[in-house]
Amino acid sequence: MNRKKVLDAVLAGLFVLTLVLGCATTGSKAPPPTLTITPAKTVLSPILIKKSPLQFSGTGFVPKEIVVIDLLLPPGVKVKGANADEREIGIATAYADEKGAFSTKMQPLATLNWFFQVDFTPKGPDFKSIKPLPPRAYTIRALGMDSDRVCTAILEFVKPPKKK
Amino acid sequence: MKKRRGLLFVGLVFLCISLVLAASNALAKEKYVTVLALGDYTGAVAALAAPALLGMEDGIKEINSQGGVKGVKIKMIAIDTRYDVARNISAYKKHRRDHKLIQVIMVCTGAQRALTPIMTRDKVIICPPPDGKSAAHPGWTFLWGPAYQDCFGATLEWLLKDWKAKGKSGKPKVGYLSWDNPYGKSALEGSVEYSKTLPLELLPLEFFPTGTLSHDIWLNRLAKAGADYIYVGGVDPTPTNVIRDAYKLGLTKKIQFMTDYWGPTQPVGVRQHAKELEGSITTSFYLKGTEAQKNPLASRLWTKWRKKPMDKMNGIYLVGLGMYKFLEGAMAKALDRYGYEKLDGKAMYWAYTQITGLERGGIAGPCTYSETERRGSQEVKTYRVKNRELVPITGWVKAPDCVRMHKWD
Repeated sequence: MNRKKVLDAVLAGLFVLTLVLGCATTGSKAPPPTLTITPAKTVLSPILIKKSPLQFSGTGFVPKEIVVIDLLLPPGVKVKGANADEREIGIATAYADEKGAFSTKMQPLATLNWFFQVDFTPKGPDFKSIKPLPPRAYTIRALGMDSDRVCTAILEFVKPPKKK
Repeated sequence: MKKRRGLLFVGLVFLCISLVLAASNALAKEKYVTVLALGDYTGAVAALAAPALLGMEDGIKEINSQGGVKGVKIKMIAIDTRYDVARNISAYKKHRRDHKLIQVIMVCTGAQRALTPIMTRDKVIICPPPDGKSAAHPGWTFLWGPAYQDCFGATLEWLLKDWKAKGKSGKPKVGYLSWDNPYGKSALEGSVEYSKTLPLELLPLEFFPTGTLSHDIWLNRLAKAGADYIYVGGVDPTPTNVIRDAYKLGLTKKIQFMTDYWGPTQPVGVRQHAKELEGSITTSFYLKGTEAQKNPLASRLWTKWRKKPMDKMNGIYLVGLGMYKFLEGAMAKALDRYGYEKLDGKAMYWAYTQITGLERGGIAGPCTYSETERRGSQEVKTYRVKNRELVPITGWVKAPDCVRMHKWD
């Protein structure tokens, strides 16, 4: 077996392992946590600010703990307010219920800050300054504040349909 | 040839590992603690948070440039949270296990309320703006200064003296106009009770949503009710905009306008609307205006670390300097008693309760933290806008303890 084949095999193994560990608990026997984003595929439009905000729901966390929902920034994507070395931005939070399940909506300010990257003036948000995140797939992570239980899901922003 | 290449590769790997180990050893040897600053550098309340965080940052740079506090340096991690609760919580989650995290500065009340139980469990000092609820229930939260309700109470005392000085009789009518949010309401928890003991009439309270463009409705209502004085809440430029609207309505001629800690600052509101703000007053727990710019500590650090002219310095920068002086004083106490190895949040908690009376270069009143007190100081000063400047019209005055007058849950 030549060196290239060995390397390919190792990389394939790591990829499979990453998929398996996508949603993981840290050593407990509890079922792995889940994360659902609604909608998981959408146009990044102002409708997400107030009328139909993104919703995150999940299971498998520790009852009553805070669940942090992070946007994991892909290489090359920058967000206003994030330090150069920051790769995760908190976009929502929730409290897990007695069964370890949660459901939360993204708040308008978070959508304005992190998806639209709006500037603020003394009079409020300056909609002329918006710089929406580029359309593409983004990894969203749900992370238990105390349990460190983690799960990821994909949120895809698609290009708006061309006007006829 | 292949063998030589292989040896070279192995040698390079060893060299890299050695360099990494050497670097981590050097880092491990340096004595330092971590302070996390969660605030707005670009967001909705950046006008308040950014200057304060810059003050804190410059104070820490100053400490570190002199070798740290008793040889222990401070690593400040600053996160631009843009007033977003989720961002605050996520940032805390990320850094809560950082090396010797002893203190978190935060400006977002919503995030503070969500994180306080966790930070208390983690034994980390929390330093937020002065929401009186934390003073009523002394815990791990140490406020920047006198509570908002104390500020309103002190302003009521000032206006009664003003009323008397003007030779007026009867009870002055006082209006309250602020943001319709927890900040706007918190200033009333205890001060309303206090107002009932004073010879004045507090008019029905008025609140407006943040981001309101015109404040005419509320101002007209208070004017119609016969207000002699109106206390305006909000972070500059909001109070500036309210008084600007009052000026347009012709109300500033007959009503005395007053603001709290976050009222007009010299580089923002006063500069933009000097004519409209002329004569208005602001109550503050830190030096403001030209007096702030002339303060030796502030001018030394501002010019040294910001390298900008003094007239560009926002007075709120001094709030950050005040926090850095608290941190420096508490760290020194904690190190004396516990030493570096045992320096943690618990040691700092003890130390914060022991710096009662600490002086901070004259930028604010003496420290009042103690085992039972969580307000950073209890003294305020009153300033008046005069010829494009904020001019002091009182010395340091003890603010009434309105927090204790409220019936808390």
